[in-house]
Amino acid sequence: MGWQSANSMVHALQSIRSPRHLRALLSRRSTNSAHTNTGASLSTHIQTWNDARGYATQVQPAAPEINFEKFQALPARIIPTSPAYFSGSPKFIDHSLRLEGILAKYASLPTVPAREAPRMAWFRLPQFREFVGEPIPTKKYKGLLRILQRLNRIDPAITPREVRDTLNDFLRPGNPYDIKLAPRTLDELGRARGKGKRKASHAVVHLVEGEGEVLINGKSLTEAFPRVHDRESATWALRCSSRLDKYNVWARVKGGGTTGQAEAITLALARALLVHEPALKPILRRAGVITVDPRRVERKKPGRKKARKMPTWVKR
Amino acid sequence: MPPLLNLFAARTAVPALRQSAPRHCLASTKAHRVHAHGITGQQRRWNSNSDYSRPDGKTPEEAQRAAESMPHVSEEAAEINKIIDKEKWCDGVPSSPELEQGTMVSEILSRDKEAQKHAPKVFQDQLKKGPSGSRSFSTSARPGQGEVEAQKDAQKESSSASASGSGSGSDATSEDRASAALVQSMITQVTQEATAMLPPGLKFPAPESLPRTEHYRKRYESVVDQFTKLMMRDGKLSVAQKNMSQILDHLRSAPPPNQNPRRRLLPGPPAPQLPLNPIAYLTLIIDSVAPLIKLRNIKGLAGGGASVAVPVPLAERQRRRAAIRWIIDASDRRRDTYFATRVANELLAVAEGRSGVWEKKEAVYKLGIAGRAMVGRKPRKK
Amino acid sequence: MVSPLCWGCLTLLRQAPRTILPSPTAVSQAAAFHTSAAIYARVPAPRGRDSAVGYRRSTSANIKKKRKVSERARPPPVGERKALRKRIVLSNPNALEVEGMPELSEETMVDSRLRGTVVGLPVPMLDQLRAVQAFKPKQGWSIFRRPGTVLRRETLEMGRLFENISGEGEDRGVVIKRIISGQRKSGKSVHLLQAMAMGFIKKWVVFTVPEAGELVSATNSYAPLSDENPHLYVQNEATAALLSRTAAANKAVLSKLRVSQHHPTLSAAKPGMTLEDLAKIGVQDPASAWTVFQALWLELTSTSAVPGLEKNFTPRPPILVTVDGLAHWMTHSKYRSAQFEPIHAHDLVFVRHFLSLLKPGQDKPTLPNGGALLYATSTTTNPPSVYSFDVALKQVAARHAGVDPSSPEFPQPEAYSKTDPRVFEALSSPKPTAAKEGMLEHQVLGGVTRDEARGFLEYFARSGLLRETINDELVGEKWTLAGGGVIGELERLGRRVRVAA
Repeated sequence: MGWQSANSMVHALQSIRSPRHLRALLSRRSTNSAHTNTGASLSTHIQTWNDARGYATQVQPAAPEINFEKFQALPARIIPTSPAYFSGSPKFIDHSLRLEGILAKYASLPTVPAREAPRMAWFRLPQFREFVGEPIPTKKYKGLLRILQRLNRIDPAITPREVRDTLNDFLRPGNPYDIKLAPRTLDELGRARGKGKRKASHAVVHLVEGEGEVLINGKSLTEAFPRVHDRESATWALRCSSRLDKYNVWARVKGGGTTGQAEAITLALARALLVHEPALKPILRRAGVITVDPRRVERKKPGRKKARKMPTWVKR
Repeated sequence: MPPLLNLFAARTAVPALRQSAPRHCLASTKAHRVHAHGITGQQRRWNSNSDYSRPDGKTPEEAQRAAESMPHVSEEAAEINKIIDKEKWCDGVPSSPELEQGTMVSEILSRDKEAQKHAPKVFQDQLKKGPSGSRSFSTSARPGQGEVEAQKDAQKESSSASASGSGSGSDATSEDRASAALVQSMITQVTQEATAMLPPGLKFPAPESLPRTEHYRKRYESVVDQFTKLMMRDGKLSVAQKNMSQILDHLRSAPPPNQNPRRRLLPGPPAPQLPLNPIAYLTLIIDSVAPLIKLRNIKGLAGGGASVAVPVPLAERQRRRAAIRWIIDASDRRRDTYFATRVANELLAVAEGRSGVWEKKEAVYKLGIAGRAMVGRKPRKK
Repeated sequence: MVSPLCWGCLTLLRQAPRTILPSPTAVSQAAAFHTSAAIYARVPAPRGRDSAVGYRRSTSANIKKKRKVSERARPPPVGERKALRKRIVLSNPNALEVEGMPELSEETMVDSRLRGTVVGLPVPMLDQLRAVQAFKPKQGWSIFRRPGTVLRRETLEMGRLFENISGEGEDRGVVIKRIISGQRKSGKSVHLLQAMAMGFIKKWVVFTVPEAGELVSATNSYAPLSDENPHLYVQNEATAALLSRTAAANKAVLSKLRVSQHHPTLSAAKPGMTLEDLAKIGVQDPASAWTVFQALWLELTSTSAVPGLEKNFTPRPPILVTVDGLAHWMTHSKYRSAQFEPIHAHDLVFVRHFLSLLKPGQDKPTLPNGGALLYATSTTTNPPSVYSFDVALKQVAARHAGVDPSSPEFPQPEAYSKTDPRVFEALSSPKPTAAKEGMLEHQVLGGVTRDEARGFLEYFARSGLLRETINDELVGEKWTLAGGGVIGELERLGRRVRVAA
């Protein structure tokens, strides 16, 4: 039996010596869901929790220390509250089992498409490791997230309280999706301003209602971009929403080459257009013009000819 | 009006409005709007559909007159909506004149004496008679003529408008101005109604959905994009695009292909119509020589160290890639000056069955058939 | 060599007997105390190749790459590439015939109701236009069934001017002088083409210089004009080419006109011969081309015959002169004088003649029978950028607008900028004294209006090239993408196919 093996004893003793304990919330939760077949006599609650932070590298106790003094008589066998007690990551497994159980229970509820489900900021992996205090592999956490996302897709109108409460436990503190930016507005002259970047260029676009004139750095569209492809790119946001003859564009763009400049204007123009007409967002999203392309030139490294290229070398 | 021979859809003959739009030397945009209805009349020409055969049993004449006078406000709004909503390529209505209207049968007959003999008697009589003068409207218009008629109409309209009002108005310009004001007010009313119905956050009506090609990273047809990028050297996309447009122009102006009966292109539009749709032409050529399989040399299938060529099926994009590579490689052996001309001539050679690409495809198929016994077998492990 | 002085020093120091001192040959083998001894040092033997890597030398492998054996065919024969580059295709049999397309004619060229429509160039005139090299290779003629041009506002305005000059009204015989400029692809050369076509319709005599740059790029032979003016140079072959263009294109007009002036310098010019034959003398004998050209010009600008030759005289038609690529003429040419100094373009008599036409005539107009001088700048032929020319064009515009050259509003070159006085001199034409002579103008071609763009795009659609519905939205989109209706860009957009329709 594992409990009697020498290693386990060392493990347990170490955990007793360690002053750090689980956060109250977590342990209560895990004990709630754990098997309680050992009866009240085997209460494993320890009242002296402190809210210190644990580290994933440190070995954390799987369950609170068993106070042998409380027992009137020593039981023949001591059974831990959680069946995952002897696994490497008992708390994580407890969480997974609980979520799977809830999912099985409510699997028949109707769901909504993923993009209509409420946005939830789940724990990031390091945060979750800190939260359970166990070294969780990335892949296993992804599996857990998949269950969370599936539960989140249950139609928000009829989500059971149990599900909602459980999901809330896995949110990172301070919901980042709750922060609402102040909506941008037109200035007193009816101009909207948008900024965009692409490659090494960045652009600022001022958009006013008008009849389809475009000025880029004081030049006309054809002078600024001799290539038709670039011209199309720059005005794509207006083009795909068929507003090319309804707005005037005044853009300043610097840095980079022609492609970068044109596509920086694309992004800036789309953002400025959203100030005028926020309801256009789904169309612009589908046209791909408000998606930021974060790729930049990879830096050159010492000892290399370019970012990746190594100098040629032979042994002799 | 002579009947139209539509090669694409066997629709009923459409009494398309063949009047060309009245074009004024317009001094102001305000004056331009006076004739907005005339222009929509012409748009209808491009968009015209079989629903022009009116259910209310109007003759074409009446229909035309109705089109020339202003329609009811709501009717026009609906019309405008229809035009705006209709995307250029996804509505299934061909938008080029020869697809939509077809070629006039009389035109074909006048060219082809042999066919004239076998033509129905009605046509023969018509040809002999020449254009009949009994119709009150003309089916072939010269720009000047349309102009004159439009002016007449405008005068009629404005005189009726002024008759209800002051009753004077012998001066043509004042009539014009009055009718312009009338139409202007109607247009503003319609636009106001349209804007009133817009959802919040929109200033102008927006398209409901976007077709795939409206994504700005996928704006080119997939074959064209693939071909362009396979032609690209040293990451110079703009040079490759320039070459691509030259190739398409070459396909557009080269004579239609005489197909080799042994090496036919895939079924598609008839050969004489291919050059007018260069992208479809290009797709057809590439798909016709694209191989279904490729050969993979696998060692140890037949025992020993010998490798055996086993056919492997290809996906659509892979097939096209193989065909494009073959075409570009084969074009290197041509003597034309420019790369674009070389590739374009090779494409035409493929279309006419003269190119070596066909032999390459046949060779692959032959080897594939030879090695088909090995398909699905796994190499023996040691 | 060891210097004796040092030997002295050493002997003093060491106080040694002279006999102990080593001989000079022995010194070279001993340790080199003196610097001069290094001469005798042995040259170090060359070290092995493997250790030859020097400081900061590349250690990379110097592997020879295998030359790829290309299967390319031999290059095309000499001259074929140029022929291909200059080839002009005017018809695409695949494009649809546009029904009811009007032709350019006396009526349509002034009909303002046709504004924005594309009119076809009459088929018989195409040979004439080809002869004067009116078509350029990249103007997009090759995708339509037949060549046609848009009637834009400037075209109709020009048509009206041509009508008046040829007509019987008070404007008969007026001379208009214009310098046409505009941004890239704004239709300057096609504007000249339209002028030529109108000139042919009105039976004018048309002189053209289709590539002004070729006259100054040192690709034609040149020679001093005469012993009297060694600083002026004549280009006989270029002049002969001009005469041949003119004779071929204006055959119908020139063959009806006869020589009615005395030409003492040209013995071959017989009174009574047609002007076409006169021009052909210059074509056949390039050495006399310039004299022939002067004679021809004298004939065409004469208003009456000299006494005795009246029976040969018929009234001369107006003249149209077009030059494409004017900026090339505003700087030094590539030619060199005998002293190997660059020759200014204005010292070439050919150039000088055509530039002198911009000045007002002394007592009668430069073109006494009326006509038009249309000189366009070009952006396709890689013109030099001449600052003086830019300022001079501004001055031309200001002068035409009535700004006094002494007033502060009159545009002046920046102080300390390098300017070319000859350019200012050539373009400073004061208000002409003759009533029939127009002032030099500067016309800037911009974009077409939306209505004109619509007509142009409809022509594409009706030719089967643009497979989209022509509505206001599409026209507005193309108009904006063409930088505000720049006609050449519209043409590019019209033929561009993005998706299969």
